[in-house]
Amino acid sequence: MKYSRFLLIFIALYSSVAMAKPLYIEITGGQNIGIPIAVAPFSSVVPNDPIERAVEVENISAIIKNDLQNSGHFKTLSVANDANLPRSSVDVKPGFWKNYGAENLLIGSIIPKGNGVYDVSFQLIDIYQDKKPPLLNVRFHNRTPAQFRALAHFISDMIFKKLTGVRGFFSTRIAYITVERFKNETVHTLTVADADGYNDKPVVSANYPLMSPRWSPDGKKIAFVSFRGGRSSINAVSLDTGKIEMLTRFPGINGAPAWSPDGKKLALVLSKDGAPKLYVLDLISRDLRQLTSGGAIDTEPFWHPDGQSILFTSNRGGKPQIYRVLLQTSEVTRVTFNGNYNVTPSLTPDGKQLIMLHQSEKGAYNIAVQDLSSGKLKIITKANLDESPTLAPNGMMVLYGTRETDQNVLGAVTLDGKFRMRLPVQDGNVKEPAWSPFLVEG
Amino acid sequence: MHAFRLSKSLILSITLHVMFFAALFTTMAFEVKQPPIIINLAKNPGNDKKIVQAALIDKRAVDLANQRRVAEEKLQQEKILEQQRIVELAQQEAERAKQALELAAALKAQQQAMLEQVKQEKAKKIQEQAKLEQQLQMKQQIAQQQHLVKQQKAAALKAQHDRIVAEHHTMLEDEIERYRAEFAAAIEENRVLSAVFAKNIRCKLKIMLMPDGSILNIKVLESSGNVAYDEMSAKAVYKSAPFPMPQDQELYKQLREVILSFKNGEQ
Repeated sequence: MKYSRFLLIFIALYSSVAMAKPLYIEITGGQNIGIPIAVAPFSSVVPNDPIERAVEVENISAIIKNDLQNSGHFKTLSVANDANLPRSSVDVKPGFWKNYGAENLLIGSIIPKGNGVYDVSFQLIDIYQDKKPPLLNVRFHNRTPAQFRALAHFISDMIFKKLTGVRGFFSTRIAYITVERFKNETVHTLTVADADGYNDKPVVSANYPLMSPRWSPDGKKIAFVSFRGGRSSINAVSLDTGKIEMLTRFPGINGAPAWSPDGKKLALVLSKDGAPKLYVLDLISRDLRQLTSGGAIDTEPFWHPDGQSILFTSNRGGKPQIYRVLLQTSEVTRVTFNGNYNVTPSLTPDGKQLIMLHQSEKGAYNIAVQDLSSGKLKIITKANLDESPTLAPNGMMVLYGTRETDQNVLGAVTLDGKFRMRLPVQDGNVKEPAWSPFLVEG
Repeated sequence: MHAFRLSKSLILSITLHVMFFAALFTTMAFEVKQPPIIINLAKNPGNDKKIVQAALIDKRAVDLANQRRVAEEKLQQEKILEQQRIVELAQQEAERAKQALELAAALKAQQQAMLEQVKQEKAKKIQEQAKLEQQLQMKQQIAQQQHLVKQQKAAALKAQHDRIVAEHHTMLEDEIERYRAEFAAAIEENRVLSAVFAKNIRCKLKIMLMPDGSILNIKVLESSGNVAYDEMSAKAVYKSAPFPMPQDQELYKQLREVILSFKNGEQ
């Protein structure tokens, strides 16, 4: 009896050990530092061409590093170009990179194939799982140095997608208007640049105002407003050919063009019959349909991603607020209620968050994000006079015009407002940015 | 066992009681059936009778009187004789009575002796019974005490065991809690948060740890739906290895399998 009791005790003790439950831990905290990635200069075996190597070769990794850093989601680590750089994943000594604070390492090389073409290869290595094959191991064949920049953005997109699961916007482009004042005239230019602000190219230049550039969904055209001859008109310029097509030139205001998601229609604002109202122009049939009516000002249309409704700004309630009109019924509902001034609406691709220009209680004009389900509003910029917010096609970053030391410049901010930067666009007054859709296959 | 012992002793006690009382009853019967001895001294006659005085008148009368006197003398003699006889009888009677008395006394003494004996026997029996009962009681007490001691011992043992188990348990729990906190702190220290991921994103990983705290493997129990998030969570774990691990094998067994639930805290 005594022993059976002891036996029981031991069984109980033993079983409690043998049937150990897994330890359950909830992890909610972390470091908001950005994903650490070391970007090594792409190695090159171009012994006879040190200048090209110095300029072009260095650029690929520099562009990638800049892309990732300015996305607001990465912490890029510079790597000195020395002989110790690993050439492939098998050469990587994880201990060194761990100490360096990297979680990931990008190495690459540019291999000349003769006749001015190169093979570009890269490997993205997980430092903490160095025994596994690289996360990415890609080789691009027969590229010219002129393609290196686009290639670098493309590589950035691949890395971004791999490490965040989200499509990157580095291969997209931005359009904006610059205003340069000279002695005799003021030059307005519709310019297109890479999403990082570099590689800018003028598309349309005029000595009259150009306004409101908007990308077509296929990224091949930009609609804009021109004040040629003192009269406004809506035009579309083909980026391939540079050809400009005039779409409307009604008396009064012709403004705020916005392409429908399928690219077949254009919403716009006309005041031909009195107050500025919303219209929809069928680009194929050229039919014009008036969408809103009444004496109030309706402007700044933005197509809902589902193509069924249009958000717009109106002062029909006394103060400028954002409304929504259903295309089928022309039924209008008010969307914003926070504050006295909410204009320039745009929506994230999932249609859940509204980005707009909002006047804060202090009177400053800032970019704000409103969660459409909760109605909660968050101001994500800090300057006094921001304008024209435009969303990256992946919905993760807002580009906007802002004032800096008496100049109009472009700023970019992540949707949570945590990361802000100024785009390195050319001097002069830069305003009314418009972010392109995805332009290359992701 | 307890009940059995009790009943056994009870039966024994009952039996003894029954036997004893039976004996008592039979002995008691002697006393009750003994007839009482009564001695009557009042039967003795003649003591209270008066002697009659006679007077002579004439011859005839004297003769008659003589005759009468003779007769009377005869009667007197007879009376005396009678008296003597009566006295003798009385004496005999007294003798007999005396004898009877003596016999009775003797009988009484005998009876008394017997009674005394019975009494003594009874007392003895009672004493014996008491002794027996005492013994029984003592036995029972001892048994009870033994039982109690046994119970107490068992209880003490159980309490000790429980205490040891509980102490062990709390010690183990405390230790586990400490390691849980250390694991969590290490992982959160190494984990990179990113607003790239949706606010409500979450995933569950299962880690198997080696006794030296290194990672045997990491398995995705519940994917977030975004492989990059799962991978990034796993990376936080890889970065944190080796985890602090105790020498104690038992504790290690409690720590070797860890389920980590990753979610984005308030950023």
